[in-house]
Amino acid sequence: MANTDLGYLLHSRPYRDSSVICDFLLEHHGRASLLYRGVRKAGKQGAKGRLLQPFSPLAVTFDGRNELKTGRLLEPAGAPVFLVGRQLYSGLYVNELLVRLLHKEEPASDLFRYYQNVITELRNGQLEATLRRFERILLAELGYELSLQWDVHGQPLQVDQLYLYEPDQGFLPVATQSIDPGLRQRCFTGQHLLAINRHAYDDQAVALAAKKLSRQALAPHLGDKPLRSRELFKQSAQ
Amino acid sequence: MSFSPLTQRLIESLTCLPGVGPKSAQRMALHLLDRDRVGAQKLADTLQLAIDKIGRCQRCRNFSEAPVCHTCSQMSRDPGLLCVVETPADVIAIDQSGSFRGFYFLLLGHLSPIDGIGPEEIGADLLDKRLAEGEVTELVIATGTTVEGEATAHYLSEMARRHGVVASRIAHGVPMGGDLEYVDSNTLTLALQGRRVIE
Ligand SMILES: [Zn+2]
Repeated sequence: MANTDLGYLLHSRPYRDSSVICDFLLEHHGRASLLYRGVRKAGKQGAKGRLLQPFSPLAVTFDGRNELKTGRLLEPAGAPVFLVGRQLYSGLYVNELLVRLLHKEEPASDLFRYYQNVITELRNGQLEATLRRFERILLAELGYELSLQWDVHGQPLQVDQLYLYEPDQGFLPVATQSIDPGLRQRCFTGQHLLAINRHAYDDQAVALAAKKLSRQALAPHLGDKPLRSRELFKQSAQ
Repeated sequence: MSFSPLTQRLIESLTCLPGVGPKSAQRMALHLLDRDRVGAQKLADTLQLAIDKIGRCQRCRNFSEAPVCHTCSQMSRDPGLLCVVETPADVIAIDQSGSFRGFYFLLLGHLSPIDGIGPEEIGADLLDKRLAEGEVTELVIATGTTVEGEATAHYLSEMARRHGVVASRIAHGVPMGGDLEYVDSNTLTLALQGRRVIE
């Protein structure tokens, strides 16, 4: 039985001579692998293959019960989206996060809808705030929602208190006096955490703290394989 | 019935070629053994020699027996122009068009973070050194018109800017001799974005 769904290509890789294995984020089926046969060709025969680009909405039809489904129809489901420059790096980062962390074939409709927003917002040039919100939503989807109001003891976060982020637990209050500089580097002020909770990234210090928090929160899930898309941003930061 | 172990090994080895499945590999192996032993000997010798001798050009990363390839040694080319392409086949295609007289640099792929291909893998360090030499004035970026090709182009343009080198991107658009109705929407969108005033 054929399934029809709306989706975005996250990643594709050539398979054999003229086929492509595609990693999709689908509205109703979550993340899924689809094999499109015979689409890597020149001319008219390759028209379908040329549609297989990330960030543009696609209507897909597929069948099969195995993990690798067989892609059938493929059509544009809206105007193509072309991200440029740092928007593009950001989009690749979002896709890499999804491919690395999101389990396959688990419906993730909320995440899908948010992904659509992400693309629109990246296109509008709102990079940092969009990425931070996306990371928070992805963590929540994976079952690791960050609680940015309470510490590990269930007490409200205090503006002038220093906290250490403990994966799986939350924010541990630490005494400012007894702390070594290395550990201090990893800590967050309650003020910054509360601002991150409000997504108040206009303040540069809050934006930096939010980035640091995202890295710490994602690290246990990424293991020892770093995200390669981060390398792209390094040059433009110089 | 089954083939002798060595015949079987030959068939299996031939399947490493693109587009060659077990059936065509079997046909090729039988042809070489049965009909064309001289050709088979020549193929074996050349293959061995090629694997031993062909490496990468130090300047452009194309295949070459010499440390610096033939193209990079041609004094008639314009040293101010450097064209960045993804594959050796792209070099041939552009050079045969006769409309580019500069030098080339091969990425041997494009940036693709999910596949673990970052700046290091596409030879960014070598290109960086090349631009630092100061001879190149324009970097012509001819990476593919895919999302990854576009990300690669942007990365290279940022690198060029750091060195004060002009970066240009080859135009994408409607193929020559084609009717618009057969052009896909992605290509049309890019062609419209890159439209030019008629002078
Ligand atoms: Zn060369």
